[in-house]
Amino acid sequence: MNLDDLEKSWAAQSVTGPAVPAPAVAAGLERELKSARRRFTGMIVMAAGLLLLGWTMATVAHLTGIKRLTLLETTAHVAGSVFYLGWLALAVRSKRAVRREAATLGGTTLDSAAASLRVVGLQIANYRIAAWSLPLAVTVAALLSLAKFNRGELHGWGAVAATVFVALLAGLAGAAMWWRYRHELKPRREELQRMLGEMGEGDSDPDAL
Amino acid sequence: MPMAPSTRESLFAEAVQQHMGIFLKMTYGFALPADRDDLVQEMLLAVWQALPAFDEGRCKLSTFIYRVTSNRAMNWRRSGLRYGRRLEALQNCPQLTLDAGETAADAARLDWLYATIRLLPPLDRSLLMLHLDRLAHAEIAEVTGLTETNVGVRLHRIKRWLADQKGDHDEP
Repeated sequence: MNLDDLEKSWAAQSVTGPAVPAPAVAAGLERELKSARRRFTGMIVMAAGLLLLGWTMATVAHLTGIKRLTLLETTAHVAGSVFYLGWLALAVRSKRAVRREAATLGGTTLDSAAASLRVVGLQIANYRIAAWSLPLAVTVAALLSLAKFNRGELHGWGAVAATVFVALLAGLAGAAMWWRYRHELKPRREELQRMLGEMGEGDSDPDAL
Repeated sequence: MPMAPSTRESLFAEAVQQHMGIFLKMTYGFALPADRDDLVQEMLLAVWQALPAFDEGRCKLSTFIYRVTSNRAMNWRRSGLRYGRRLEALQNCPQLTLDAGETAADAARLDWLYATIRLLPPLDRSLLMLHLDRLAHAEIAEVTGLTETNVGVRLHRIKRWLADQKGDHDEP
């Protein structure tokens, strides 16, 4: 077997199968893209709806006298909303960057790899911000629970349970982010950096590579 | 100026009817048989999404298809969930394969060649397949963004490596 034989066999390849119905395939792809956009919008609407529901329930409970919205209670709601909206904004920013990446696929390998590296870098930066905000969220939850306990608005066990609940949620979110960072984002960043580094080499000596 | 939908559709039709070989060769070079349908579908979607940015004055459609398919293949990751959705979206797309040529020897050579290509780093896989498709160094440079010199240097090294692999393979 020599290289010429391989090149001849390569050239002898041909596509077999029925003709591709391009309009039907394009319509299927467009449907898939629209469906993906709808899923994305749906998730944003659902996330915003959950926030609105929380505030509505708190307001209704206050107005009907079931549970008064004290200054501390309102502060807790506002703090929760700020964290929630912040994480939501980070998630949306990451998702949009991934979608924009698709438009760079028509560029050269060098441009496409550089764009992918920027997207992975943005995702890692978002994860880093989110990861730093988790202990802050647990601390704020613990301080607010303690303040409510001191003012007699919350039982001792209630304060502990509220803090543990927030800590558990933060722990789960942190573990999920860590897993994705270690198994997906970090290896991908290293692979792209290696590839881009290698692409800059090899302009002279064949044996240097 | 944004591309008219009819232009996009006619370019897509040209891409899948005249350049399907590029899709399939890239797929065979990057994916194992079980994952090939997934990757072909990802490439079709990538071409459809990237077409609005295609400028006929700047490069040929075939060059654009080489770029999109190799870029997609290089950052492709298998995803069962996504694949299930695509299958539903692309149920009108027929199963296409690459016929290996006239002789059993051609088929054996190509099996070995694709398996060997998949051992290479992603960029080198693309370079070798572009070279085997008889693209000139200048055209490969246009697809990859490497300099022509760099393309030549890399191909020299890849061919030497391929010759070593063949030597190992030919031994009894």
